Amino acid sequence: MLSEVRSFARTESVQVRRHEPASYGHLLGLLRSDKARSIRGAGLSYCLASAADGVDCISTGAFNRVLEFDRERRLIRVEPGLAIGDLVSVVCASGLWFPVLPGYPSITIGGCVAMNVHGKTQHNVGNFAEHVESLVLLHPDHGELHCSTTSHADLFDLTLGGFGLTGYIAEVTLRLQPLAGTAVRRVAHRVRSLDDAVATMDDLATKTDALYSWNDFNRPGASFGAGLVYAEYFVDGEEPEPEPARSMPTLPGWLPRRSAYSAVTMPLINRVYEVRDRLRPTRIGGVVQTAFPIAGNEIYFHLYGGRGFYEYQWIVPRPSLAVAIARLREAVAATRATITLGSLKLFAGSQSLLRFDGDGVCITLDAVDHPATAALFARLDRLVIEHGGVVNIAKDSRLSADVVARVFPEYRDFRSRLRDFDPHRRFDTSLRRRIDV
Amino acid sequence: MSESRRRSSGRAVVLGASSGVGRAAASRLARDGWSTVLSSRGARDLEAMSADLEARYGGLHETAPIDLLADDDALGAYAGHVTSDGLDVAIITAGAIDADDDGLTDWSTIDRLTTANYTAVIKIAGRFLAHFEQQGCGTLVLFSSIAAAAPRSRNVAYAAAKSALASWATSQQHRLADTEIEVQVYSLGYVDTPMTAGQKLLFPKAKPEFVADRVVQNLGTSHRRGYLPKWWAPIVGTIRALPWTIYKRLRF
Repeated sequence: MLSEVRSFARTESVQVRRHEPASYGHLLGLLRSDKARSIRGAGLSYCLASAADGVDCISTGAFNRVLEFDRERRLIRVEPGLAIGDLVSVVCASGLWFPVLPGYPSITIGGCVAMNVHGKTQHNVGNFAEHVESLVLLHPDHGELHCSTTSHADLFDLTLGGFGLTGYIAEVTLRLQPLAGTAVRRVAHRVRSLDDAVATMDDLATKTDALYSWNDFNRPGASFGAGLVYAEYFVDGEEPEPEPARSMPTLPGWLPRRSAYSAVTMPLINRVYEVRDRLRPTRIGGVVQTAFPIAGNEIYFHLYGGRGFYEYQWIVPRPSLAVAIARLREAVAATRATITLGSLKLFAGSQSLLRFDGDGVCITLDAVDHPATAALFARLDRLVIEHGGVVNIAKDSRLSADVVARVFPEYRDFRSRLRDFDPHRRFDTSLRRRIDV
Repeated sequence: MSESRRRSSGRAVVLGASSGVGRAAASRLARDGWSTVLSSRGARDLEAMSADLEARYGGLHETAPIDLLADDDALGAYAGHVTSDGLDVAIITAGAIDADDDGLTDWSTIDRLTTANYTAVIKIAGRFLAHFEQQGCGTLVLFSSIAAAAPRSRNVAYAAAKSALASWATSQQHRLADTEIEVQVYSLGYVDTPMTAGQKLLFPKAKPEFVADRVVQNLGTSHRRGYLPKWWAPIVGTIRALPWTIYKRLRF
């Protein structure tokens, strides 16, 4: 029986045959088949990275267990379907911490590896891949492969940020850190422009445990990107404020097609959001709750309506930053696109293969599915090609193979290594087809 | 039996622990501080479950793989091994279903379904009861199905086996009525397990965790039988009260 699978951003959908194995016997049977398959975790990728037309879709849902927890060596070995929020709860109870946390607690560890996700402290701790000690891959043509920097190192490298195309990630061993506090103090700093936001973040970069911003990209002129910079600090001995129970970010099956976000409503929504946090700039939260700021605010996604949304993420190299910000402001004004969310994070690291990594400032824009958005994002593609840096393939369901090839210096290397390892395309997704790897 | 005798810790075996209601029951027991013996066919699944429960909740969680289609000697050895270190509760969720179980299927399939859902279950359950009788107390939990309460033209052998299991449980309840041994049997409605994956069903599926919570809450109480979720009781009652001329037209 076929059923519909949608990307989380709702801009892509396919009909697939879904499998939900609950035992290793069932799973291994599915992986032995000659048919192409895709692996699906929580299904929270904005683009369709876990399904494709004509491809069996295998869920990791039942494989969400902790296989080994070595508290002394600060290592934890887990199955791919374990939610990152679940992982954090388990390790926190033992006074440990995992430092790379994406926005939603229900994102699976397998998905974090496949997308090489980043968190709010990228400039200090890097991306997810830098905390993976080893992993186990299952592949119909290669069997069970134990991969690390010393064993199948090339495959290990290809799998970290390899979009789940190198095989079924059956186990992941992660390196943990000591938990630095029992609560988190979050301080919101007001900034009056995007340049001011970058300067404020640079000033706070070495003093905080997490750092990100919220920016209003709909404001014209000099106040473009005004907003708030959030600095978070682990603290001891302070009682977290009680928080309402938070649900997982599941979207209802049906939504009205029209988005609630528009040029009329966004200024109001942004102003309410900003004033709310300016009135209470300092908050004390639990370490797990604060780690996932979007959890519990799923209405943000619901309000996009049935047509969904697009997200653009660009790590702008420092030398290009001033020009890029000016060109971004011009592009938003020229296309009259309505930006529903703007955000910055600081990045530090070296970029390789198709990973979203490098030195610079990560600019994030969300926008409704609209011709103005398409026009803006096309202009941004040209800006990236012109000014350098990379885009986040995992976030943008619109990126073409041509743009990816021009933006990522190692695109051809990634493609040839993947095809050498998996010439029969045993693992296939809509994302793979779109970016032609 | 009074509420004060409700069990809150001890040693429990869960047969069928690697998925569905069994997995949820094992997790709930571990969370409540029970030591568990985890059983199902797949040793690798059980090792994963055991490690997970230890990491999350601490305590001792052994594994004892068993295939319900194994021979009598293997079933006996399994029950002996599980009871050797004492046992307070046995929860048996294991069973099998087959999409071709339409009343016309081959004898080997019927034999397999009958064994996995009835014969092997009572062989193991009988040995657990013998252990409970020897120690003077214990709780056995078995699972029948709404398919047994309202049979239809699908899942024919499965429903018959589950019906036989419910009958066997009632007989044991009657036999052990004046003892400290409890035999509890639940008729499960649709539950969100691999058995129902991908099926379009007339009524909503219950979460395995919901079922497991109710089962663990009732351990050691005088609860004998019931539907889970409870709202299946009026639905099944209504179906069973229908005249045959209507019943035979139902497609459920």
